[in-house]
Parts: sequence; structure tokens; C-alpha cells
Amino acid sequence: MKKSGWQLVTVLVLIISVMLLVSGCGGGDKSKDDVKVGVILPLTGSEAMFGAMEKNSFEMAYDELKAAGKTTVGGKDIKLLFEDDQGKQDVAKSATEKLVNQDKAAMLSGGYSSACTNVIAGSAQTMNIPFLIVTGSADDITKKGWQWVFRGTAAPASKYTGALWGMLDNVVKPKNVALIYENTDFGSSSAKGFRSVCQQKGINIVFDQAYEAGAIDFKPMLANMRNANPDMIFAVSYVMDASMIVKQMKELDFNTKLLVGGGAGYTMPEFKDNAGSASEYVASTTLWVPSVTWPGASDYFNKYKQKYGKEPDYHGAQAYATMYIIADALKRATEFNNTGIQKSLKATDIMTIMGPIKFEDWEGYSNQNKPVTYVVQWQKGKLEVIWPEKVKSVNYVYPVPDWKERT
Amino acid sequence: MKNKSVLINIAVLLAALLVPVVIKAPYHLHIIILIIIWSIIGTAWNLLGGYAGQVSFGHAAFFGLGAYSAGLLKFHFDISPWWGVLLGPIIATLVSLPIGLICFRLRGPYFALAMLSLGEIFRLLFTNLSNFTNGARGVMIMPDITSKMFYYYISLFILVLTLFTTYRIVNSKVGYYLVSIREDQDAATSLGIPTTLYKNLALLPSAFFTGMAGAFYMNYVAFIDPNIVFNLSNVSVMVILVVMLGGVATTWGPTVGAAIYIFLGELFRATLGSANVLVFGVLVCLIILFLPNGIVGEMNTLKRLVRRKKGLPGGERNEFLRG
Repeated sequence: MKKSGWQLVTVLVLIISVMLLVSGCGGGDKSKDDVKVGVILPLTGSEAMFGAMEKNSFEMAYDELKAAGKTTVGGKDIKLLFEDDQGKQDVAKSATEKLVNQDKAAMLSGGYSSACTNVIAGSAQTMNIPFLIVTGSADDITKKGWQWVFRGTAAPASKYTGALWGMLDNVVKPKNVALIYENTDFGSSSAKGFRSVCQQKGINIVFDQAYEAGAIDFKPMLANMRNANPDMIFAVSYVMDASMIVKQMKELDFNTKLLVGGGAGYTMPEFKDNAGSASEYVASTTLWVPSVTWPGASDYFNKYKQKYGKEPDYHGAQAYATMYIIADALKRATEFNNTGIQKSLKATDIMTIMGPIKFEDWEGYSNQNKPVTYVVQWQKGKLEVIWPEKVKSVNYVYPVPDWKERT
Repeated sequence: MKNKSVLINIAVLLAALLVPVVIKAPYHLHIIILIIIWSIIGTAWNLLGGYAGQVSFGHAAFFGLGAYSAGLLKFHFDISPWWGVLLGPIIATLVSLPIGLICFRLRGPYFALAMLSLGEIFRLLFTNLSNFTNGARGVMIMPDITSKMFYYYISLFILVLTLFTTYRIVNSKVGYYLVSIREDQDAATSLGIPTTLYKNLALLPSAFFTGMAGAFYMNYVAFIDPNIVFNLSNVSVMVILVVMLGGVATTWGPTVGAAIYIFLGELFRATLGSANVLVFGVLVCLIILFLPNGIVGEMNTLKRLVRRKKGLPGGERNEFLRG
């Protein structure tokens, strides 16, 4: 029993010291002169690559705005507070609690993975704090009628394919398509959206399969898919899986008229690096490309590349545009409390490098911008816009040549 | 001695009850609630892994089942997810029953391996049964209660229940049987202890309380998906780390471990920027290297070091029963 006594004393000491420590610093921040914007991103963990890109873009946009004197609103400075969610949802909740209750952030932004975004959005809604989503794209998030949650630069996953349908109707005219997707929130939301439009248009889905994200051997799945003989493949994958799939298609000499990726992996520079020549002629839907005609898009791309030595993709553009939306909303806000900022966000009508942003209620979504999407294709190692026709940078290649015919 | 211990017990409980009165900041209460959730899972794991010596790499299975019991009640039947706190542990226990009956007949790593695969099986199952579980899109609920104090007291109640139950089991005949199985199964069998039965008697409450923690987690965090609650590294392995850090086979070890793990993890995350995981990992390595029995487990060594300035290395590492 003596030992047990000592254990208990330890626990007691622990509880008391935590109490003292915590109540000592519980006063919160003293600087009341700043308008604080909390940004929650995965800065460590498996999604850190994207988190870091988004953080850099936020900071780059902030510096530009500062140089233009736009970071001071109503005599107060806008201050960004970055928090790391480690790609884990309970950490995302901790970060949200900290930003809102300790740091007294006036609004929140960020949100990369769907799971973390869901948790941040739920907490923001219960605490009545405006939350502007950067990337998280699960359909449901803006379908719950949550008036505190805004999604501007990110499309709901099922709407990533908007531009693709125009191209399918006019060019590809497929009868039979194959659908593969990673078994994640983003993957299954995208697949669900794709399926329902196929049904409306009377396109047969002859192969429909989810796979475990991070798998290595796709050959059995690809072999089965070849037997189904689809006119076109629609695939939703992140970058490593995407490169594996196209490489293994090449190894199997599996020819199809067109492979279209559903955003995410198929548009990234890393996809081209990993897949090598197998990436050629792979098409994808996307929300943004550097060559897009919106004002500032190519400037952002070049400036980022120069400053950080890496090419940004649409994730970075989302963060960059989001910073501009925040600055604009705060500039117009009459009061820097939650309702003031919410009202001002709702009235947003701004042109960004992601296109025009407005928060509208449509098709069951609320505070959701109507996204503009593109179809892009890798040609000669470069990502080119091929659809919609009026913004294309090159002509599409369809049907794509068989593997054997390529040099 | 016994009276003193009871007094300290009451003091600890009173201090714990007063926590929300002193700490009003919701953020700090949130961290403490997370600590309590991990204490519950750790204590439950410890009964099986610490005292009975049956290491489980798949407690995420029970945790996730508990969480999904609560979430799916709301999702399918619109029943308050709080009923999951009762239903979840029952389902987790029912699932653990056949596993124990089959695996505990064997020795060696079979149970650990079976549990490892059990966690993964449930993760895949819940990802792919999307009609029933909503698949990878997860289950989200909107909690009716937002007061942190409420969640604090509920979780504290579950923790006290778990600690009390574990303590009673460990200090009963069953507890001694479990330790004897851990130390030498052959000797235990030759003394007439039905080892399979008693290993099951450790597994069932362990699964029960882990499921309860899972159901509470669903109510508190309000969003789950299969990759979160059936996660191998973030749940199954994390609970082992929590227990190792605090002290295997000690009553308070998992609680102390959870407190240090969560508190330091959050402190580093909030202050150290991108290096936080690295620093945290190194620290955990150091603690496990120099305090292999965990902080509570090495309490005697630490105490002696402080008193006499010369510790007995590895002092009572093989002692019969801690607690």
C-alpha cells in the first residue's frame, strides 16, 4: 500500500501543477488591437507537403497585402495565427479550441483533409465563429445549412468534374466508362457525384471499384478493368497511387482512349516526376492551373516558384486566394466580432486568382462558391488546359495513342 | 497505511472534481478531457496488457466499435448518441468474446497478431460497408451540449469507474491469477488455474471500457471516420505508448502517462512549430530508455535517487505485483 500512496501523491501533484500552470496563463492574450485570423493546416505528418505549401501561400499573400497597406483594417492589424493539426482530427479540435478560446481569433480559416475540416467546421458552428475553408472538399460540409461555415476556393468533391461533362458530351461521347477511386472521403464523394451524372446521361459504368489509398499493386484491378473494356477511365487518387496506376497500365499495355483523373494526384508536379513518360496524355479535372486567365494567376505561380524554389499547385492557389478573401471581408466589416465578419463574408464578391468568389446558397449547399473547373492534359511533360474550349492553352489529344505507338 | 491511502484517494478525487471550478478556459478543459479519454483507454489496456501480460495491438477495434455504436445510433435511428455509451461497450465486449475464446488457447504472439488484424479488419469493414457506416465519409453529429464542464464530469465518472473496477479486479483473486499467468503460464496451469478462462476475464472488461471511451469520444469530438477510430498508430499503438510511459501494471500509470503524453504533445504543438513531433518523439524515446518501467513504475527508483543520491539500478523490476 505504501507504493500506491506514492503513486497517488504523484497524480495529486500532477493535477495541482497543471491547475496552477494553466490558471496562471489563462488570462489570454493582452494585445487587443489585432484582428486575429486563425489558420489550421497540417504542418507535420503525411499531409505536411500541402500544409506547408498553403502556409507559404498565405504568407506570400499577406506580405503583398501588407505592402499595399491592406492588412490594417479600421485601425487594427490583421494577424495570422497558424496552428498545426498534424492531419489528426482530435488535434484539429484542440487547435480550434485554442484559437477561439485562448487566442481570441475573430475568424478561422484553413482545413485541408476532409476529416479535419469536418471537425473544425462543427466546432466553429457550435462556437459561432466564422470559418472559411481553404481545401477540405467533402460534399456534406456545406450541405448542413451551417451559417458560420464558408467555402470559397474549394469545390464540393462531387463538383470537381464540372468542366469534364462538357468535354464528354462534345468530344469523348463515351458509352462505357470505368470508375476507380481511393477509399477516402474525397474519393467516395467524387465517385458518388460522377455516378449520379453518368446515370442522368445514360452512360454505363462497366467497372466501379474503390481501392485502399496507399496500395502498391493495382494490376489485378487493372486487369479486371481491361476485361470490362471501357471507353474511358475516371480515377480519383492522390499522387503516389496516381503514378502507380498509370505506370502499371503502361506495364500491362492496357490502352484506353482517355484516362481522366478527378483532381488531386493527377495534376501535381510530383505525379509527372514519379510516373515519368507514363504521365503523358493523362487528363484530369482541376480547379486551377497556372496558365489560367484570371488576373494574377501566373504572377502568383512565378513568384512562388522564385521565392520557395518549388512549383505550387492548386492547393497553394486556394490558400493565396483565401488570404485575399479574408482581407477583403475584414476591410468591409463594420464590426470585428463574429456576426460582423459573418455578414461581411456573406456579402463577398471578389475576383481572385481562383476566379470570382461569392458565397451563395444553391442545390442544397450554403455559403458555397460556384466553382469553375477545367480539364487539363499532360502534353510533352507540361500540364495544359484543354477544356473549356475558350480558355484552352492547347488542343486536346483524343483518343490518346496506344502505348506501343509512342516513341 | 491503508487509511492514509484512502485519504489520498479521496484527496485526489476532490482535486479532480474541483478542476473545472479552477480552470474555466474551455481550451484547457478540452485538453484535460482528452487526457481523461486516453487514461480510460490506457487503464483498460493495462488490465489486459499489463497485469495479464496479453499485449493487444488492436484496441482500436474496441474503441472504434464503441464510437460507431454511438454514431450510428444517431445516423440511422436518430437516437441520442449518449445511449451509445451503454451500447458501445456491450458491442465491444461481445466482439472480444470469440477472439478471446479462440486466441487465448494459444500461446506466444498469436493473440497480439490476432488483435492487430482485428483492428485492421474492422477498419476495412467500416470503410467498405458504406451503406451501413457511411464509409470513408464518416459520421458526424451535432452535439446538443456544448459546456465543457459537462463532458469533463462524464468522462471523469467513466475514468473513476474504470480505475475502480480495474483496482478491484487486480486486488482480488483474479488479479493474482492474471499476474501468475503473465509470469509463468506453465506454473499457473500446474497450480490448477484455468488460464484461458482468466485471460478472458481480463479481456472482457478491457474491451468494455475501451468501447465506452470510444462512445464518449464520438459524443465529444462529434465526427468519426474509419481511419480515425480504427487507426493502428493513432489509437492501438498510442495506447501502448501511453501505458509504457506511465508505467505498465500500475494502477495510476496509464493516467499519469496519458497526462504527460497529451499535455506535452499539445504544449509542443502549440509552441515548437513544425519540429513538434520530432522533439516529442525524442522525449518519449528518452523516457522509455531511462525509465523502462514507466514513470510510476520507476517511482521507487526515483524516490531512492532523491533520498540517498544513489539508486539501486533496476531495483525491484521483477516484483510480484505492483499497485
